[in-house]
Amino acid sequence: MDDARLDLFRRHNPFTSSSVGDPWEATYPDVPSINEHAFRGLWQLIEQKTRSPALNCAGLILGEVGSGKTHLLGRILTQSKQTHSPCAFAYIQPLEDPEQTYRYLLREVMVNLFHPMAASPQATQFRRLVTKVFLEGSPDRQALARLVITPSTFAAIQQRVMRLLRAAYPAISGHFVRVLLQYAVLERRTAAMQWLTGSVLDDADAALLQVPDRTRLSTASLEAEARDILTSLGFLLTRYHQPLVVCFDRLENLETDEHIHALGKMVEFLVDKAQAMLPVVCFRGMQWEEKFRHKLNQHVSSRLETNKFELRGCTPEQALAIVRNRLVVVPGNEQAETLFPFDSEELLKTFHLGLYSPRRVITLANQRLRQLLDEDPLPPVSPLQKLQEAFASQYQAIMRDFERYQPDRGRLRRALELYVRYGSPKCVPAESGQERYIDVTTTVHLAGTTPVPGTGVVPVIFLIDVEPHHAAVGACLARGIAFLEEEPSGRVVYIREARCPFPPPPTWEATNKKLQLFKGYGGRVVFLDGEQAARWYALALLSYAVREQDITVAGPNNTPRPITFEEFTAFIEQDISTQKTRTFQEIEVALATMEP
Amino acid sequence: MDQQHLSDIAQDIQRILHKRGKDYLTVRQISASLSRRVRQQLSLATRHSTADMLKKLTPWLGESLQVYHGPTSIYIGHKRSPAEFILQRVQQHPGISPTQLGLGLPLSKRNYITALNDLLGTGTVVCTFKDNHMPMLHLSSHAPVQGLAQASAEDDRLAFHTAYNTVGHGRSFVRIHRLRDALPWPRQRFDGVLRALLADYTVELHGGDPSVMTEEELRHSFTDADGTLYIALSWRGHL
Repeated sequence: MDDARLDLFRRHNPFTSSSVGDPWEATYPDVPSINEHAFRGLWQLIEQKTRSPALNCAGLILGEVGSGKTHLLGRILTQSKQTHSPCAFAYIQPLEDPEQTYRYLLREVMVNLFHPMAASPQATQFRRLVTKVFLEGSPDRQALARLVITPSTFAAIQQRVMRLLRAAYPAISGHFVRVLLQYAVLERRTAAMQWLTGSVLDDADAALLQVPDRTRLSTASLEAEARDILTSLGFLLTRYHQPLVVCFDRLENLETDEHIHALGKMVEFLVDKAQAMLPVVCFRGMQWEEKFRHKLNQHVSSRLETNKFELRGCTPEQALAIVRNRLVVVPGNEQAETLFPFDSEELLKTFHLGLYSPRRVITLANQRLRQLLDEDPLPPVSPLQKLQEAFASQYQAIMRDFERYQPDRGRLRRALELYVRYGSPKCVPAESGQERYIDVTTTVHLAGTTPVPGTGVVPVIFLIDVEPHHAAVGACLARGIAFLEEEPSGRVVYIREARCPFPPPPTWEATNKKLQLFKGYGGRVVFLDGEQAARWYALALLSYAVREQDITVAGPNNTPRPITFEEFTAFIEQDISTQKTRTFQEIEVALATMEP
Repeated sequence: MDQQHLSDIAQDIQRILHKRGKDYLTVRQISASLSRRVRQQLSLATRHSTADMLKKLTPWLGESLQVYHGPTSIYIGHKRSPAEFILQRVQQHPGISPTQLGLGLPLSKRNYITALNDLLGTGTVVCTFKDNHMPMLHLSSHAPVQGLAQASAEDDRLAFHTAYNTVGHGRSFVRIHRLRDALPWPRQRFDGVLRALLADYTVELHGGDPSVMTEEELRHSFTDADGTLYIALSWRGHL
């Protein structure tokens, strides 16, 4: 065999990854004929929704592990980018906190709309929408090639847009329209984005945008406001014929009935209340049929099943097309039309034995390529090593695009729970999310004591705070102080994400005093810097991928098998929990240095 | 002659049948669809008689294919019993008349009538009459899975499909261990039928989540030749 050409594949094996973790990051070319029925069906739904934004419909994608559910979503995104009348697209992973169902939906939708569509970070789906609003509001449409607006024209545009939209959609939120317009003003953009994602703004930003203070709103009111913003967004999408496809993926991670019910609420809202929004829900076929469809409100499950698409395995020809498409992305092999270095007849015979999922096709091609490249099989990758690689890769993806991973208390809580349960503390957390400010409740053995039941054990609570407003931060610290007053032997760890600043005095004077008081009571404070927070998010997302069976290693006979959750917990114990990375180092230190 | 390539003729024919969505084709249709290299190796030419072509193809058909002598043509197709052909056609065309049914099958008149009478006798197929006294055939709605399984080893595919529908209650992802429970066959027989269904793309296997299953359920799932575990299947083709 041609050794020089083989070297191309030694340098770049195109079959090492068989999982599409994120539709925003599609890497390999598509094979259009694979699951074409599902793609066409979904695209027709989108076209119908474009013509009739009030149409009540949803899509359901059913496919087992590796059948290409996430890939199919990526295909919709790609198609949308290439078409003249694009739709908007949002990819949403499982929610963690059912109490914040609509705020979570709003935040994730907006984060996707703020995601860059092209090389320029300015080219976002939201900007496309804002431009249309400004074009409509501008007296001279030709002059508005770019969003550069003077204060005088801004006021005129705002007035005109308000009048037009209010007349067309009396229920549209005035605050929403006002903030949307202020997105165009560079110095107000960050505040506008925060408000649009549902964050509680500090006083200065709220005043800048002229929006009411969210700190005083109850949970129910905040949820209602999130629905209101989404509904208003729907009016705009309707006006500009840009339906928003809201894709829910990795739903195997919905663990409790409350989580499943929260998904149902989101789907029902998107179908029945918000215009121009099309929920598309991905499930594993067997789990949908045996579990989820019975746990969802029948109104929701029937809506989903009306447009159900089952993903199918590849025919031999489609399998060959996958291989061919991957081979041509190898640098230096772009022009090759053959299946070199494979023997096409031999491959065809392999793929002729049944309908293989795309992931299985890639895995088989990888196995064969490795044989062709090296007579000795590569040493098997251990589950631990595989998880280390997946964790590192997830961490890097987050660091590359940190804006997309907004401060998320629920996801930080998931990471903390994993660490507390399976890492060095080896504690059993009590039910979380039962009390407003407390994220994890558990008991630990004090450092230096022998773990004998009933001795040296103290209650510990963890408070995770991502609130930007001082009042919410103060309330969280007050909860910690109250706990320490009630349980003098207890321990409290207050955790705050780096992107949620805690300004020193004289700003936040009362809150800073409360922080000192909290420390005086023995409370521990952990400020997660960007890298640490990214590692926490990476751990939470990795747990989704493990449950989704997206991460595989070579099993018996060199066939791939999914990493088990037990192997994942061993990874947390051996890797995450140790001092190798700075993931939970500070939590470990906080627990170790607690004075009895 | 290159024995290596000829030994794959059976697979080539199965691929042709699958591509055309047929269970059988005439010998001439099969011959015309084979690759030029195979035709050259077998010295198949259109000027040859069907009997000559058949003589050259028959040694390479293997265990999964069979020659059928119909009333007007000779066919090559998947190995099926006459009953299976009848049941499949009646299922696809409920209300079909016995005459129409016989015309479309690759069976001699005698074999067809014998098989149909057997099916009517066991109640698997029922006959009713239209207003104009024309007979209409239907599948019995009470055809039990076990009864079908026992009817004949050649009816296995039908039994498998019936079990799939019965156990699945209309689901598209049916657990393999439940199919095994519904079809009390020896493991070898079940796996053999399943492999045959896989080979012609009638069913598709799925991995699923083994962590939610018991040891016994996993044992009664399906592991393929290279050790990959499959938990559920979906019916994709026709019978």
